[in-house]
Amino acid sequence: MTASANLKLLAALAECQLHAEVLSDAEHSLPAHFESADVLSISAEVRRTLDQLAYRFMKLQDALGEKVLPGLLVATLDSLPPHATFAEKLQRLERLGALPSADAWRLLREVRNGLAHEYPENPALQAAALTRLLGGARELIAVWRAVRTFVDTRLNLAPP
Amino acid sequence: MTPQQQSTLTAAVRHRFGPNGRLWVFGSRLDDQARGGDFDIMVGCNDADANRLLDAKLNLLADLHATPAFEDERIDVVLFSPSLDPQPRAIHREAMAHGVELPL
Repeated sequence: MTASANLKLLAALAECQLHAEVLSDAEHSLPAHFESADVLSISAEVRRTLDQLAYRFMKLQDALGEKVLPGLLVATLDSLPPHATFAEKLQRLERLGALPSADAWRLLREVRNGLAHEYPENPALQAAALTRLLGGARELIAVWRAVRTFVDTRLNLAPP
Repeated sequence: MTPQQQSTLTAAVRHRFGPNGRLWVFGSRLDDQARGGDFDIMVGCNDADANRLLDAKLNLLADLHATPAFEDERIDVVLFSPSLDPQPRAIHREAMAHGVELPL
């Protein structure tokens, strides 16, 4: 791994750490789940916290998926075919132990892509979407912790 | 939509929503002249549990995006459950009136 790639990965890990801390704070200050009645009387403060949670969820997943996971493939020197598909990369990361579950990661991608759907005319689906986002936040933080543990125990990324 | 995409889609919907689920494709992908664009589909299922419906939808999307037929495609799934929407909304009426229902 080049020094430049090493520094980029360290910067991406620091970025993820920040997103994960804010995401975790937001998740802890919200209810564990929402019911239809809750979404009909949601307070401005809860709405702001949900927006913050959604934003950090998106940022953490993007930073992990676009910077950290590709960086780990390079850092582990585990060669892949030049035109490896995204699915093959995920499977490789799972096999290396860097990603707890490729399937769970794919599902979290769909939770992220679904953030724009607010089901304005259906409170039951609105509540289900918010509850799923909160569960997704907890799962994403767990993925981040597993990645961090992998980096700390399996890689030597100390700055030069 | 290619025959491969159609068979992948119907199998995935059947897997996640069961054989009593219903599937409509609507929007620009029905128009042979239109190139690209999102896949607009509606899945009908008479389930009153919104959490379970949403989970089935997310799993369906993850299944589809893991296949070569849909890997990089944008798919917009509208849910229609008469238990949750006794009166079909405008988007439901649009899909039923102008979409094509695919047998599962």
